[in-house]
Amino acid sequence: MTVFKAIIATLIFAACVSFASAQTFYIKANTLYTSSNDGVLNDAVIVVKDGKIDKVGTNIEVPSNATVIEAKVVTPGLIDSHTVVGVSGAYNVDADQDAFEKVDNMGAEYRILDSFNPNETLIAHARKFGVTTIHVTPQPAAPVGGVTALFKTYGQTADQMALRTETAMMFNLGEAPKYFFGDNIGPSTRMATASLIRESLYKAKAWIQEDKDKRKPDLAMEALAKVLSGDIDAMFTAHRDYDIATALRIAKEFDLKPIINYGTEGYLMRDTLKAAEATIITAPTMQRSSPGQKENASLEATRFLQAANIPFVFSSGYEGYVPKTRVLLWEMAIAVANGLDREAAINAATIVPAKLWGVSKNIGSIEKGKDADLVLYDGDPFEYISKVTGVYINGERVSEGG
Amino acid sequence: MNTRKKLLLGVVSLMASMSLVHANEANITAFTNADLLPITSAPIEGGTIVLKDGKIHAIGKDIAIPSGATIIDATGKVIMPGIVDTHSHLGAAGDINERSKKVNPEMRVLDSFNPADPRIKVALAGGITVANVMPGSGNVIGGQTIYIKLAGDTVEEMLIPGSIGGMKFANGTNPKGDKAPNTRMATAAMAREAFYNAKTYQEKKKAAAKSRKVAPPEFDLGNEAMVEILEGKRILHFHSHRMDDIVTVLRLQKEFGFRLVIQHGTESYKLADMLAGLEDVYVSHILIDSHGGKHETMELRIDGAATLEKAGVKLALHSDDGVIDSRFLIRTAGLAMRGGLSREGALTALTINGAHMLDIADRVGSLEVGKDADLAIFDGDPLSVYSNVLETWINGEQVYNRSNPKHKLFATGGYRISDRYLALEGGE
Repeated sequence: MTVFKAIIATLIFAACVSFASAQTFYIKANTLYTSSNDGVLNDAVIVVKDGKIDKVGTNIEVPSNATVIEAKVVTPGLIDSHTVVGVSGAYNVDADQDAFEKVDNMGAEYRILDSFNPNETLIAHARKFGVTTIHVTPQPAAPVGGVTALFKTYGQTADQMALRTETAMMFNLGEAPKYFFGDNIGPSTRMATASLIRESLYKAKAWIQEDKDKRKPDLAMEALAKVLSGDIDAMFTAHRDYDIATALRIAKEFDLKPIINYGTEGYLMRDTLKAAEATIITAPTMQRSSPGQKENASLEATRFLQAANIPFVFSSGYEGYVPKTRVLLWEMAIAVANGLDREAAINAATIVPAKLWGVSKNIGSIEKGKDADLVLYDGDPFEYISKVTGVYINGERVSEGG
Repeated sequence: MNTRKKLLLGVVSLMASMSLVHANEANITAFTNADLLPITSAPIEGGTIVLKDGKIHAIGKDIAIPSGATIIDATGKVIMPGIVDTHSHLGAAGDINERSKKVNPEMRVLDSFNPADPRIKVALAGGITVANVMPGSGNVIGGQTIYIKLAGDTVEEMLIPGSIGGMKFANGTNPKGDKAPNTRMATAAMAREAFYNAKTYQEKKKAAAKSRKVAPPEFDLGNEAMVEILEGKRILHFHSHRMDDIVTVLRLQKEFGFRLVIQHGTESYKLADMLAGLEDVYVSHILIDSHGGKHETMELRIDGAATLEKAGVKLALHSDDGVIDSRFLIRTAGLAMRGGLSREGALTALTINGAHMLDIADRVGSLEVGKDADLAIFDGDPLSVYSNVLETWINGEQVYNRSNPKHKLFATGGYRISDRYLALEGGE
């Protein structure tokens, strides 16, 4: 290719890239949940320019020749803080299951990024109902599960979609590790699960002290070292109150910020959670309500957490069968129907998780300069019969909703 | 016992039975100023419904309330018939798929059913009063189903009088396994063979009934139940998802002429026009949060129920508890409306259509005089996420009351730890 051709090609490419986003349009909302200090605005206008939010307010003049989209309600794009869409596929056969390395109970070196399939149909399904960012995790099974990642729900490759390629280390407590490993390599008890996690973190502590030039490269130790230094977060899957207590114990031992995945019985131990400054990743309907570690799940849990000022974020959780994923919006609706404040509910799927996962500079609220990730609705977002009428990511209309 | 004692005992027991009769006579409840959704007739705003001796005694706008009735002001409340769940595994989960063999028409889920399962109370908190509790879909013929009311101490008390239940069949992915069948053609062949066996059995029985010279067939528990299907007394509930699997079911139905409910029918919307034209074929549909989890549910659509309705298919919606928690069966209807199902279609799919699919529409599924007094009482539109079931009534008795804190825990969760849970509110 000659230099000239290369320049032309580059220009054409640049033109294509910017075509979608290099434009200005207006969104008029009867009710606008900003998830910022502005709270809820009535009859508000958002100006989207070059894929970013340029202006937000109630006194914005809309030029007569402008492109205007109207909606009853607009919220920021929703963030699902725990999902396996993209790594645990809809067909649910070996070929599309990449969320769980079944022969390894200690997977600190695994990065979910390397399993992520952007073309998985469940990603489009989540997007259709307003989810623009997903925190994708390994299946909650191995004591040390691997490193999670944060993606936008639109794009062609994992790297292009990733907001953070290494977000958190997933540790799993309770029944799942026993169920999957108990008959072979272990653990088959809770104490063994905790011990495996603890041991891995102690090893990483020692590894950090070793001479950098002499020590052998060790991907697992490197990843765990990032957990210890706080460069990536630690999330602990725990349902039962005593499993949550174990998570808090380990977090304290290694000075980690405790993020509790599910925290099903967390509403019963609010003082403890408060003292530990823990955050709960909640899934209100707790999927199947079969007997076992979720049997005390409460639809009112978020209401109790809110009253106690314990931070929580919404998730669709892990589903292993039918349905293969939950719809975040409908999970939130159940929480609101059971007494959670509606603005708090939207915050728990927007600005709160954006801050938790360290990406609030770009997403999580409708504020000048942030990515134009927006969801439009034809009515109350939580009502069964309301519809999502449009989803935008980086200012691009990526779904007609549903 | 001497004569005097006998006489005394007789008088006492007579008095006791008289007082029982008296109590029954006074057993009249009237809800006034209620918004009534009778289902089979137009909604009544500010209406009255009178329950007497476990039945609906009267319903309407300006009706006389019998003397001695307990009158309950239901201003602002919506009353609809108790919800009929056409596909549930309440009380039997974990005991529904016999793994030793694949054709089990002799088995009765009755013998797996545990009335003490607390999930039954959870279902009451969701307004459900009637369920078709079925064996699972792991077998070609899973066994006999039961049609029950969700109140009673024993399964016998819970069975709907006069109902014999249905029969569960399955095709597609679930009955396939390492043992036979491991193909769809083998699944169909096993179902077909069972019907041929039953037909032979039926013919031998008929011949024996006509002539003393002909010996009856050796008694066979499974064939006894299969013959009830051939005679149209027992409805066949066929678990089937994919379009081609449903067509296989219809092929069998044409061969043997049974009354059929297609259970799940994930892709039934693709056959809507065909299904609408068939006699004795119903669709008991499931709508869950997403497609997938297995091949045959990949093409689940939120507008599937709406497509079926438009074509005129007789449609119910079910929970398949625990696939959908019974509390969220109503949500299913709401989501089907999001997909275009009419409000009327949503309400009938939860009530009268399901009653027809269980052959019990003469007793339940609508608010009509003479039907069982089974009610679900809401604090608002039943199809709104914000509405709660306030009370559930079965046979004229209140069986769930949200204002009772311990009952409410079956709606919210926390019933296994009620003392700890109830202390929470005080702690704030």
